Amino acid sequence: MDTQTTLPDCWSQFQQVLDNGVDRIILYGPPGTGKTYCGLTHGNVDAGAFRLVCTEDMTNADVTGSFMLEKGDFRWVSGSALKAWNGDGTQGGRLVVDEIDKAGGDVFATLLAMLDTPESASWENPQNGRVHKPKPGFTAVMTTNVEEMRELPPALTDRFPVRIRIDQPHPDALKILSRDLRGIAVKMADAGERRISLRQFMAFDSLRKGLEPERASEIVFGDRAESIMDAIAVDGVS
Amino acid sequence: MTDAVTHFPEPEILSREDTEHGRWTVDACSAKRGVPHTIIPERIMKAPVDDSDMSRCIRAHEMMHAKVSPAGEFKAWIDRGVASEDALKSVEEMRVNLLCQKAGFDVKSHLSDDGETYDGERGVAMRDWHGCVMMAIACVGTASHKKFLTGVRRHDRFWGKCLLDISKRALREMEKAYRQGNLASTEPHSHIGLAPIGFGHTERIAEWIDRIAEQDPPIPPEPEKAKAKDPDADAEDADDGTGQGDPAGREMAHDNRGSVDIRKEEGFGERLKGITPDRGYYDIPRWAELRVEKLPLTTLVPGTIGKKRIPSNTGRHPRRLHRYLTDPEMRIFDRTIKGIGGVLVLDCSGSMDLSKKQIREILQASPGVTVIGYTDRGSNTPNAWVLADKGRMCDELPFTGSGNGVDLPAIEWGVAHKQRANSPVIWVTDGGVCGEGQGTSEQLSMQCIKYCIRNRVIVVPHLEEAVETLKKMKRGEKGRTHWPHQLRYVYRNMNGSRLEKDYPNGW
Repeated sequence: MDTQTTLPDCWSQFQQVLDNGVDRIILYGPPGTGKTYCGLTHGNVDAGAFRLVCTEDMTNADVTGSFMLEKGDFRWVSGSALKAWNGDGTQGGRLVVDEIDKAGGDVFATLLAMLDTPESASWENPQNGRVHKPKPGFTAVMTTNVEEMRELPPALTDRFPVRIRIDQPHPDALKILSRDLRGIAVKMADAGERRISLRQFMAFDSLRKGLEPERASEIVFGDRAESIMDAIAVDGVS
Repeated sequence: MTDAVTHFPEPEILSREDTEHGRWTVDACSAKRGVPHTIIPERIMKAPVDDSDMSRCIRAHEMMHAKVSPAGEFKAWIDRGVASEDALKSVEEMRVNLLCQKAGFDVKSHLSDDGETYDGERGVAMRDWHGCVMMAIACVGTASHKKFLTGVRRHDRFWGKCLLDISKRALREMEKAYRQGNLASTEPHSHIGLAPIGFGHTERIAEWIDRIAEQDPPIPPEPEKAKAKDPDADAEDADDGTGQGDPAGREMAHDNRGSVDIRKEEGFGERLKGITPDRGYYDIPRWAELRVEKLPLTTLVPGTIGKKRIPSNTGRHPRRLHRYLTDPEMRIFDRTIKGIGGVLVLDCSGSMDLSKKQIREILQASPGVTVIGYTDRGSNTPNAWVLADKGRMCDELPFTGSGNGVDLPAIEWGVAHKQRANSPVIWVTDGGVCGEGQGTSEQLSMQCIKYCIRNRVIVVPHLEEAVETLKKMKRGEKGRTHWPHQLRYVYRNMNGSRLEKDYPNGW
């Protein structure tokens, strides 16, 4: 990360929390602000960072692991959570769980067990009966678009004492955008119903290199294209 | 059937230096004058959302308000007293429309709701010169302007000509401000703390528009309907500079004049041309805060605040028995009357000079007078001192001449501290009015002139004249203003007429 960049308050909080050893963090807020990306890359992730995207159809195999057929034989393949527990063998890694609130009941229960405190968390491998515990240094970052923490199950929020609302894209992510769109992307990331994601601005930025800006805007923003282009024109007046 | 396309404005995209960014409440409304609006502090915007060019221009207009207009500080700008609320609002409309045009919106062709022609007719029919000036300024540079002037001309072509000239000049001033590069700036001013800086241009032009709007237009001669011409016939030379008049007005029995008192009316037109905005503008003019220190008033000056005894025909102790025979009204008793008092406001800046002897002379001339001297020395030190009050005066003059900075606040203090409603306030100044840490300012000078006229403050350039005036007033004569040269110069420069001629007595 570019240390010269002044971090917005939300990202600055995230950095301070990581630097001071908090190992369970919820990042919530509007989509497209780089919560997952920063969860995977920021802080100490030398032992590896593993992502788990929760859906209703996922199974425990994605979390803990499963037997998979390989060259005529079944072999145990660890899931993301177990990989993160083990890290590089000596130090625990980082588990980034996206949208945990969308996981089914059994997966959710397993995740609760895996995300418990290091003293309580353990899991027995059905292949060899070995009991796994998270290696020291294991951290977990949960991301969600849910705005009200009350909507999450208390058992889950209790395991994540620190919750940070991310309301604007990380400056590192903004660097990909052209300079004139960066400020607008920041403002529109948290504009409620009229929110425009960073990804849309990236697509618009890319398209306008080959097309007229109005045409690029029509393609990306649809019916809102005229209003958005008008607002950009008004904002550009000096 | 397909749904009509709607275009809701996107104010969240806008950035400002003086307010926090946040979510807006945006609602649709009709495209009628006065209905679309923007409340910046509450982040509320109402604008038409249909697909027409006019609605698009109205949306841009409201968005520009959200971008550049004062947020929660509009009242603070009004309270500065430089320009009236009406003028500030009108000129702000002009600034916003010009910035919309600069941002690429064709407000000149599309920003109109078709009701302006009627507004123009009604304004002239009611002889509402002030209202017509404000409306002409508010819509200059838009499609409304031409329609408004068409309505004005239907009743009074001379007014149409004057309003067109004023509008053009105002727009030119705003264009000049745009070229300075900070017309749309929303930064707070580093000294006065008010935002946005760009609104300072609005205030300067509004002060000028106020002076134009307060002129009395000539009374029109009786209409001669037989000779009346079609008021729209010359619309092409009377539009907003494009040469495209709008002859398609509704047919009506108008009372436009056939004969015109050219000498009288052109005189008024020439007078309007002489009224100009502040040319020496380089920063938002500002007064310092008045910090008054009451010095120890240790020296008693004979005269006991102007009290004296006069004969009376009622009382308890007959002290003037001789009057029983000599006075037809037999006023053998006494009664006590007080002097008229008064407040003397002294400009003690470097350009003025003051000694203890002169203060003593003032008190001797009018024993009940309060004397306050002012000069601004920056920082938070006192900038005004009560040098004499209630027949006593200070022993030491504590200050050395420096900048002015608080001329108007000091005069206001003087008016607020008059002993009686009819006590005079005399302002002794050389006319070199300056703001806090600034050079001389025409706007501030005009503010002082207007205040003195409104409150009947007597203005004299030298202390000797002030003493003479006080002596005259003690004798029962009226005090008269003798405008200092610099104030006369500023007034003539900004109004094209002579101050001493317009206000020979001072008001």
